Amino acid sequence: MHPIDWTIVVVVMAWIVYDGLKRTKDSHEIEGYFLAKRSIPWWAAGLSVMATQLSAITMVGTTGQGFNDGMRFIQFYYGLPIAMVVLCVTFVPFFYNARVFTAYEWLEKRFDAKTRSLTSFLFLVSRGMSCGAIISAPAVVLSIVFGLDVTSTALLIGLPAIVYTIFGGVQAVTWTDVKIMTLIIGGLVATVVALLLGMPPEVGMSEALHLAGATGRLEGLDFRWNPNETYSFWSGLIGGLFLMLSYFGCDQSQVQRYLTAKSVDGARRSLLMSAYWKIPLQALVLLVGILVWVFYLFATPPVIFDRAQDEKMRNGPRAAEYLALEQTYQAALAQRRAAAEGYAKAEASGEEAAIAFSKAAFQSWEQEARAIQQNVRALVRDAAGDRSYTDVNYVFPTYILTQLPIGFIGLMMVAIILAATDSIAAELNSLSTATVIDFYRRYVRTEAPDRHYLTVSKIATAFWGVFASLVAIWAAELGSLIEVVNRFGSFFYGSILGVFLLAVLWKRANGHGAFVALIVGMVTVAWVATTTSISFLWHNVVGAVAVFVVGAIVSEILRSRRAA
Amino acid sequence: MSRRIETHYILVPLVEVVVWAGLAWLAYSFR
Repeated sequence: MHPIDWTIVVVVMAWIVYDGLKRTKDSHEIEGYFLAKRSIPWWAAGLSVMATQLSAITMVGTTGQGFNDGMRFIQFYYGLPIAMVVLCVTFVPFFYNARVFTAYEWLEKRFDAKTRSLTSFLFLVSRGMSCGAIISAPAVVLSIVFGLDVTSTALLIGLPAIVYTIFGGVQAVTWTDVKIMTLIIGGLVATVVALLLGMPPEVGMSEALHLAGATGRLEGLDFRWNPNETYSFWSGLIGGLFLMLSYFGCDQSQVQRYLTAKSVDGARRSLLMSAYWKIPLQALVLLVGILVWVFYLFATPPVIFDRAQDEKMRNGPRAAEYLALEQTYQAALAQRRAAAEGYAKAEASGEEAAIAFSKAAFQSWEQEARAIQQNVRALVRDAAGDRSYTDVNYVFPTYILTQLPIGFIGLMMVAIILAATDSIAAELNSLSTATVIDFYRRYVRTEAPDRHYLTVSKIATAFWGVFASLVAIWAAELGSLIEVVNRFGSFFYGSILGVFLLAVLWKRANGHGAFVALIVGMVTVAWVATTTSISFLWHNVVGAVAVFVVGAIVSEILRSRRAA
Repeated sequence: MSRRIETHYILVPLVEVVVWAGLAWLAYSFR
């Protein structure tokens, strides 16, 4: 990267940290440190909710999925808008009016201490782990594209978050989120413009979409019923609904964002912002990936986008096979490029016979190129001994570094880094809140001045920052970037949602019933996950339903015994 | 709960249906 781009990265990151450190208003009290004394405007809390969910994994992983498969990933979010409405009606008023710091604290008011402690503990374990994945996943990609070691890139991502979250608390987290979201959205829109400007003159937005559409990359609705498939309409709508209910309703990293709002309606509005904008935002991220794919129809893409792996293959024992495949691939790409130009011209002319003929030629060469690309990936997987290896996460960073002008590169790279930073900041802030409120203040020191809890909160934030960094090194070996984060949560998520649903919807439910049901729910999900191949999205439905049914039955049995 | 918030509870699903229609149009028009 050019020194000018490095300067931009350093200056923007320094500004974000400086701005975060300035936001210490009310942070000398525990309610100010964790909840900003409930003074955040709804739109800022709403942007913070969205920023927490949009990490660097989204920036590199989702654009990669757009490049490879197109729009179908969008279906993952179809349950989100409905989940937001359900939460606004049910959980939000309960949490907000109870004046609690954590969602789990509310569970003690409703059930008992053991249910609160177990759900909070599960949150700490799963979020602490996924926080490591949020750091490690982009750290691995950036280490290769920058040519630095993983520890350096992990520190580049994690350290700013740790620093401003320790000192600024939730105020720093929220207001840096607002700035980072503005930078990310502006950067993505500017990238779309740059992509269109970088294509041949005969290819405009319409032709680019025709090229993508001809290969099925614009299909965002798959109505086939297949619970094993994550990216389908029904899995997204039903499984996704339960995942989003759990993520936004029972996960402290999200709940804490909207508990900072000025009123119940403010908290509701902040969630409704995601209901309206999450799907269009994901569509924009996927569109960037799709347009990068169209761009590389007219430019020469590398045989694999992972530079380090490419070098290993060229100098490894299977170099001859690799180079032979590369040659075949480049020949197919040249043919595909000519066919793409022909199809784009035909589309612009509007002549139907020419469109049909050139489209068929383009589709045929695209299939040929894809088949060779799959052979290349299979060869790399075989040589590397990694069956899940993929280079899709390197596509967008490679495009940025090799095709965008100096200055723009720096802005986009800092946007990717900060997307990770702001998610980690929110996670650390919520991990610290759950540690202090649900455990330290509940069991260790129940009465102490605010100043004491504040010091412990800062130590807890630092502890989780160090913990996440250590996990980051281990999580890097788990494979696919996007699913790592979701998989960690999927074993607990549905079951925890079941406990909250039981609390809100089954008035006769009691603490013992909820606690037993939570354990049964987790065992059920683990059993389903190991014995069937259904998509992890459906694990949330299984967990929630199992906990609700078992919790209601056990509660009723206990009540009738007591009555007898 | 204000009336304006309640309006959103109806608007959100409607907007989502419009988004699906938009995606269907995108896939169909540029297939």
